[in-house]
Amino acid sequence: MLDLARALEQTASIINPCVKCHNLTSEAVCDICQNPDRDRLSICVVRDVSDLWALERTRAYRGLYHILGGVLSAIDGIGPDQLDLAGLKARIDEYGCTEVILALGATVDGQATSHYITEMLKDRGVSVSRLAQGVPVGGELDYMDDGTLITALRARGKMAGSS
Amino acid sequence: MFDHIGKTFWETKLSGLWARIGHNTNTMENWTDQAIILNIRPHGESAAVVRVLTRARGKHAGYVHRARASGALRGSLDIGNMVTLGWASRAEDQLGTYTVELDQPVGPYVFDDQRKLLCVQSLCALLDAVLPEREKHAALYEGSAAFLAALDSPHWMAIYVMWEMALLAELGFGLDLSCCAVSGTTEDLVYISPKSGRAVSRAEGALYKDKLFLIPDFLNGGGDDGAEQIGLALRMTAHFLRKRVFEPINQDLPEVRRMFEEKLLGMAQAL
Repeated sequence: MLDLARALEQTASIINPCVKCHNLTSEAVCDICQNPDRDRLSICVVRDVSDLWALERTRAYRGLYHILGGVLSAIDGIGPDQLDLAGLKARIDEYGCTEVILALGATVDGQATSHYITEMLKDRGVSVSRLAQGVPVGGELDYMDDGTLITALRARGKMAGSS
Repeated sequence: MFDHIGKTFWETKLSGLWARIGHNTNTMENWTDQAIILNIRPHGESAAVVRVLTRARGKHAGYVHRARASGALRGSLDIGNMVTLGWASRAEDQLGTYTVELDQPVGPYVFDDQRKLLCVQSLCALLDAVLPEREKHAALYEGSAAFLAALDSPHWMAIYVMWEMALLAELGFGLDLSCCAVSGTTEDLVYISPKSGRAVSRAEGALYKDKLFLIPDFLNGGGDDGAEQIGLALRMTAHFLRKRVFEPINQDLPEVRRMFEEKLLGMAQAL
């Protein structure tokens, strides 16, 4: 038990948020932000650390991240001042980013935050995109909730090779 | 023999015993109702406390197990969604637990439009802020459900303004646009008094027109529900919500309601 307590204490004393993206790290700047192989022209905006890890697991994205620390919520009183939006703007300017990917939840609050950020970056000349919404890979339609199906139907795309 | 202990002691003991017997033999309280989700507050690893506006029981709260662990529940639990709820509790006054079944999702109709997102957030924030818990407001539920079902309509903003007027009326502060507050005439009504909330005719209001609200065209028999008229209407309903509902409870209008109004006014100015 004492070993566990000591390990927890040590972890708590050395782990802190990255000064740039707010990912958890034992140094001032996290591995992702330090990695010179990462594409600095692209920033993916996520809600919290678990979302960043979820995207990192895919190994499909090689750019940088920015953790907001939440989403705008009218009812919970979370306004723009409670999120690190100033930090996002500063990093876009610092790196000269050309693309911002909004990987926020497909909820009313998540999408309201996405629109807010899009408007905030309107004059910065960056391309702003968001994750697609719809049928998950391996999903059977009859197990899907109505919201997902309606969204998928509305965002349907053309098949490659069709006229 | 027990006079020194006093009657109150025995009354307390007996009532406690009855309560325990009653508690042990009590059946579960439960009901099923239709509802609109107003607020979802995460609790623990995967659960949530959810506040809703129900058709028959007004604003109500309950606990949803595995709210964030189950894929189906995650899709059902978002503010503005219309759901069928099952509530069960050991006692009527406890929080109780909900089972949730999605009837009509709001997300697909609003995700692409910032104004609609702000509007749905505003509706939920207003209902959550002003309604007391477990007080029946069936008309307000019907009005809210009708608005959410009309989000695809080209007139959704005008319908939202009417919903806010219905909210004021449900809370006892309805606006009266039927006749002039001064002369009683029903002709040429163009203003609303910010004090009384009643209509004022053009002739009677001419001297005070800078202090009066203009009645938006779509509330006055006209068909114009463009951004400018909606902006006028939202400024008017915001005034009455602030003065009559929020100021008496030392609160301000929800921030998102202000953002929605600003967004529409910005659009109107850009036209």
